[in-house]
Amino acid sequence: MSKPEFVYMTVIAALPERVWQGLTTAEFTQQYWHGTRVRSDFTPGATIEFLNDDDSVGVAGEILTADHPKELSYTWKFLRNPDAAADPASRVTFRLEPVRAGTRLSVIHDRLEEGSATATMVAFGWPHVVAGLKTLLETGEAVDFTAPEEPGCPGQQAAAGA
Amino acid sequence: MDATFKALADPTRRALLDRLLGKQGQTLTELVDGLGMRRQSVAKHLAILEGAGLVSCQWHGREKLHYLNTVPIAEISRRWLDRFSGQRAAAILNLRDALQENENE
Repeated sequence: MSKPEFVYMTVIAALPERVWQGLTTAEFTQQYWHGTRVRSDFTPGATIEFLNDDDSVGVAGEILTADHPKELSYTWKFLRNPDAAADPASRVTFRLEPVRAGTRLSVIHDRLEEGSATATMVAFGWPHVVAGLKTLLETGEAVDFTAPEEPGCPGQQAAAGA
Repeated sequence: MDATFKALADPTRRALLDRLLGKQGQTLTELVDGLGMRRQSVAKHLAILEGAGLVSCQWHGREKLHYLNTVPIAEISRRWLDRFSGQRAAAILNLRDALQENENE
């Protein structure tokens, strides 16, 4: 096993089944994964593609593991960026563990070449994609903005007394 | 989110995150080296960062490797910077449709 190069984690208030669905269906990926639609039948050896709006392929790979709803891994090649497209294929692994608060999702990206265009793009992209998935699945929490805990705005007293 | 801000409100912990940004996948020993701090207090700071989700870790054989996990920072960005992007409202509606469709199957 090669040493993992990037490890991103989050806990999502949703069951693993739903997180899996978020990772593997185009209706979901389009909403948080830079607008791309995932396409694969998610069986080992199958191809996986992330399609842009114009149906061009942004990322392509091959499914390595699909242990529903626990572990998904595939090879990864950015096609949109010419520098990254020239890099050898890397690998991404998603681990889904049920925890009390929902699902702990780990995203491990490895087999990267140090300082490569792919490594830079991966480091920049994953936090946003993972946070986007979390927001999407936790709809209630994301739109509910609570009032500040410390009062201190003019008009606060009047509003509270009303 | 409280935990994120609390964890970031300390220069030593921010320095630890800087070190992980420079090199991902470091052991506690590597992180202690050159910090001029006792191993025990570095471990304590790391635990706080882990608790806040700013540091993720993986066992690699016998070594516990630490990584910079910027997902909580991306969440902060989403909360205040992407709020009015309208895309969110559409996303929630689409999600609802997709889930309902799935339940009807």
